[in-house]
Amino acid sequence: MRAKPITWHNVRSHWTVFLLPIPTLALVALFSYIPAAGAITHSFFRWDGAFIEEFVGFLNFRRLLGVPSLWTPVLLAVLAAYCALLTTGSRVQRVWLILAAIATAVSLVVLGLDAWKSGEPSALGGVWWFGLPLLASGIATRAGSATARSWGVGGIYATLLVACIFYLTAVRGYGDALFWMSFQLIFILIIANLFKMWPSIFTAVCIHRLKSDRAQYLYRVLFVIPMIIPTMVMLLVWKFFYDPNVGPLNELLRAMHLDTLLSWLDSAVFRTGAFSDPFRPAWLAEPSLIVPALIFWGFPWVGVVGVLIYLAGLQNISGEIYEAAELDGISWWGKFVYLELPLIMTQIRLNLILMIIGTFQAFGLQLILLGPEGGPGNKGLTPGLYMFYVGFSQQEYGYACAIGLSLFVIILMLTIINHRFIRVQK
Amino acid sequence: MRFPLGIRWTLLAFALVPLHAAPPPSLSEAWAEAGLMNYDRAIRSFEAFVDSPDPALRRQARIGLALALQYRQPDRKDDKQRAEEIYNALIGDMGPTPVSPADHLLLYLRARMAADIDYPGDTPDWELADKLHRRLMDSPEAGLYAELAASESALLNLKRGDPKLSVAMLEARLAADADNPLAAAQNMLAGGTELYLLDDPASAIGRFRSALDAGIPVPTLPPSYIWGVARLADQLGKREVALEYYQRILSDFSQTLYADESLRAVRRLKGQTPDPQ
Amino acid sequence: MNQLLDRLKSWLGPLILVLAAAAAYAKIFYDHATYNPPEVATLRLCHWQLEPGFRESIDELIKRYEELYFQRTGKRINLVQIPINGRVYPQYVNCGLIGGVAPDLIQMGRGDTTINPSYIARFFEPITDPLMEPNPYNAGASLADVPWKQTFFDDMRGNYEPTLLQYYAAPFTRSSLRFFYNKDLFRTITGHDNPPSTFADLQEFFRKVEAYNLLHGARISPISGSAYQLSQLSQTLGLPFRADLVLEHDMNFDGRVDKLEAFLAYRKGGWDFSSPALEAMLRCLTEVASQFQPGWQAALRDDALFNFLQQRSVMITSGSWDAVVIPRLSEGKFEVGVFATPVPMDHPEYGRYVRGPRNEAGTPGGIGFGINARSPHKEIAMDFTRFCTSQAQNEWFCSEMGWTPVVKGAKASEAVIPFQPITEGFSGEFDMDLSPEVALKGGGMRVSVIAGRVPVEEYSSEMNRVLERTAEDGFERTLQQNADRIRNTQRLFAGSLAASVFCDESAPSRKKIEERATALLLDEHRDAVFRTLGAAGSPEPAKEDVE
Repeated sequence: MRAKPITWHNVRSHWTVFLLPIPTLALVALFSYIPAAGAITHSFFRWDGAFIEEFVGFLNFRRLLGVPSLWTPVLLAVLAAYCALLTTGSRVQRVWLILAAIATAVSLVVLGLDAWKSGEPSALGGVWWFGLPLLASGIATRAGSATARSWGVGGIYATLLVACIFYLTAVRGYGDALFWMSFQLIFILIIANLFKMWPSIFTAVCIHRLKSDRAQYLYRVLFVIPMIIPTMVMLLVWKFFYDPNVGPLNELLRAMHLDTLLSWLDSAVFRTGAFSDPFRPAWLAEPSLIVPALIFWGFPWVGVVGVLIYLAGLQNISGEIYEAAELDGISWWGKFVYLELPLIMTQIRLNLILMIIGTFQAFGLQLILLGPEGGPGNKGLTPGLYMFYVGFSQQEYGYACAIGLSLFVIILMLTIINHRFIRVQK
Repeated sequence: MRFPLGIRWTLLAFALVPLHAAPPPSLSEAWAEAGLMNYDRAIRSFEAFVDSPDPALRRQARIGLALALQYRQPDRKDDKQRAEEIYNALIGDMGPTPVSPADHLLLYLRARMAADIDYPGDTPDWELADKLHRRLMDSPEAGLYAELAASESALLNLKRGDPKLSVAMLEARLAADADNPLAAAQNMLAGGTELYLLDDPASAIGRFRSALDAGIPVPTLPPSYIWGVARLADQLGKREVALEYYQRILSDFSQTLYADESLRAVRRLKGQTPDPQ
Repeated sequence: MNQLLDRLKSWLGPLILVLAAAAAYAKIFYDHATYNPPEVATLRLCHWQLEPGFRESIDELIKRYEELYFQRTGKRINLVQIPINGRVYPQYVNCGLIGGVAPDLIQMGRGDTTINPSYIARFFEPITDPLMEPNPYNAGASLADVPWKQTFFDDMRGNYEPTLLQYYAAPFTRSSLRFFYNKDLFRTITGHDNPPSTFADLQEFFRKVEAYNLLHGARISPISGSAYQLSQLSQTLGLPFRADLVLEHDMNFDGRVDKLEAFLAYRKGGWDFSSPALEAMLRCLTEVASQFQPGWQAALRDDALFNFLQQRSVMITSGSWDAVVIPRLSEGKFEVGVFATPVPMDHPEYGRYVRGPRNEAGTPGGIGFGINARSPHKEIAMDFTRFCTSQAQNEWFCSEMGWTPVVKGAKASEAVIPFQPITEGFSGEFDMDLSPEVALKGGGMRVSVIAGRVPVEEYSSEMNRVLERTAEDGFERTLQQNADRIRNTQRLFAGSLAASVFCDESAPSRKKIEERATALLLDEHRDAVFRTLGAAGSPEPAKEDVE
């Protein structure tokens, strides 16, 4: 059945239906979209959050991302990649690619003009060093043979990779080094969180496989109850766990005689001095222990929301599939690997996207446990925490908005990559 | 779309309430808001009087409106241009010689606007500022405004990169009237320029002493300047001057953080303790 | 019956919702009727002082004032105290002031709206004019005819807002930092009752504690510490190392070196993080911090206090605000003494950089309440402030709290006598955080360095790298902030001039105008000088023609 267009007559005769979502839309616009638009606008301003609002163009982005001569190779390579992709995909996808290519081209022109005005002719240097290989690769993509075309596309992606590496290496000297340094922790946390997703999956499977409905209900309730505890309380409890003098973690390590092992490892292998005698490691005050403490936080990593999402996915699996599998003599592990895991891939993918976004945006945990500077040696500094520090400690809200916008672009790119390359076989 | 009767009356009531809820503004309230830097409210109040039949009120409201537009934040070009237009029109209506305090205020504010960067992308017009300052300095009734104008002019020369001219201007003003209301400030400006930019601390000492003798109106500054004179004199080997000013710290400002160092210095200069060098 | 029960069950949820809403409304109306009855003026007062006794003492002051007000005028007023946790106090005050719903009396000193002159000018009522009149609540005392301003210990010099040239809050007390020590444990370990008066004595004490622990198998740490206590030690023990740097680079002779002065000094090679004085300061602090209890880096302020009260440490640093609290908490367990931080003037290595202790003469009075400019009861708020800072009430309040009074002639309790300000030495206020990156990096590394995890040389070279990369940008940013501040001063000055021309009743005095003009001109001059020097490089040092 094809959707019909809504006419003015429809609206007049069913105005209550159309009026119903307006309050929600208004609230979403007021509290989500308008502030987001305001943040994007203010990223081009010097803004103190109250009275000073001065348009400064790209100044905030220069401070954050470095001089244009660092950006031009990346943008050129991205533009070339869009052009290479134009030959594939549906009409709608090609339209989006063209729009993205135009936006990139406009950015390049604006940057070039801005750099010219600022007296930075070296901005054009990247055009020559990276433009030639991109041009050669681009010509190859139009060649007759499939091999040449593949080489061309590969060349474009390789140049893009080199441009990104060049940028990430150089930006620490010319851009905001602390902002880029904070991504190190993010990548470590993402890898750790990939492993930390699995306990929720296993828990959901175990609950799903309980034969008794009552038992399933009971476990579901037991897992939901901790949701009523505010996150702040959880963080403060963990802060207490990590206390070097009275915290249970150190007591537990001593009770299990792991303190001797850790002290030996520290003196023989790690050599950090964190586990020296007397054994009272300061998990949140020792620079070498901060990252392990942030990874270990939340043990046993059974996230309530994750469990419920996976459980909902598992409950959609028809009983007949299980019966058929059992007839084939499948083991309990086989059921998990060949039945349940593939059929909850949609939920896993959703949680993966949410986990990546959440990790990139994370700052509350670090703020409570370590303070706005990210603890000793700024080891716990994340981009979100740095944005908070710049905005609320330094009162540079315009710059904080620029950081936020840059983070948004990075997360969006990762989400697109996730969407494109992690496919679910339905 | 038909609304029930009750809702219609309610909507009507809400629409009418604002018309009667706000009391009429007064100029003194407008100035009070401007004093608190609430320029949006001040502008609304001043605009209510810009077309007043009373010429004095009209002029006052326009000056107030221009001031509020000049200083309203965020700084926008259209606000500042509108303020400029109002100032220029009022100055145009003024005679060749400013006579009233309002005239002097007007010239001062317009000169201020010309000299400053009022919005992003603005360029200062120092020639116009100098011209307006000159008008104030030449006005016999200007009093404090004339001294303000002279001091601001001197600062403009500093910004132009001519510290010597800046000092010369201040010197000329002080020579004409050493007891003018801003004599202390002018001495401090000249002394500061000589100390930091002309590398003439000996002359700077003289200026600061004159400022102290004239009486620095800002209550927290005298101890700093007495201490400064003592330190500079000490560094230049002017023992008597250094002793005199260190002892002033001990007698008049013994509760400040300069006191202990001053005591040590006095002992050293009197030969009671060896020179640390 | 079953039908009724079923119906009840299905309506139970909405019923609970309605009852809860009704209860909430009832409470709101009741509270409104209690606290805001139409014939009673209600004022609200907010602060972040959550230490024991403060709220009770303020409540008593409120009660006394309300009775006095009723006796004088026949009208009832209601003052309500709103204590807010220090962590969220800035947000509470910022949102309240900007949103126009802030309390009538607001403790100053936390949150940008109570510190930044641009906001203070907009949101707070100056109290300068009332300060010039005698405080009526001193009638009958020796200060009866003395202007209110001059009844304070420093004539309110420390509470003068230099940018706005006004006073905005009258202080209730003044504070200083000291060491508290367990007299009994100290005597047991050292065999005598004399607390350390020199740095050598302090080092000797550390050795004695170590020997005692070895002999008796004890685990007593000489000092109980945390990052909070370290910040206090950084002031009392660390600042004296910078006095020479301040004396050398203080361009405007105000006794401190701000970011602009520090940048020019850095650029002409006057200092960097490898300067011998600064490295010596870190080594000294590291040496003292090594005597903290293990794991102090992660401890909180209360953890350190708990550690001291449990007699696991002999000493702890704190301020005069704890002069009564700590002895009260240790009552029955041990006796508490107080002594000033000994600075290493005679130390063979550190002594060459230390000319004296940290001078406390310029320390301003604290715990002042600003009056919200939009309060409908400004006069009552002002009068309450006068009442609280009268000689009698200030003496009573500070004796209750065990704090140092600020009004001349108010007797200090025995407990605060050791906290009288030290007037020897000089200032060490040298602002090295030339850029936000330096501040962030320094803040992140400082504890690690002082805990001995990072060598001082490594810290210095890392900080110098950050400084080299970001100092110029930081200088530009500070100049920009200065320009914003000067523009606000211009706004206020223009407003004053206009008021003197057009508003007879609220016109500022001639003297006030001259004061503001002087301050503005000096500010603009300073800005022009720093821009010139920043662009060109600073001149050669003044000729020293010593006889």
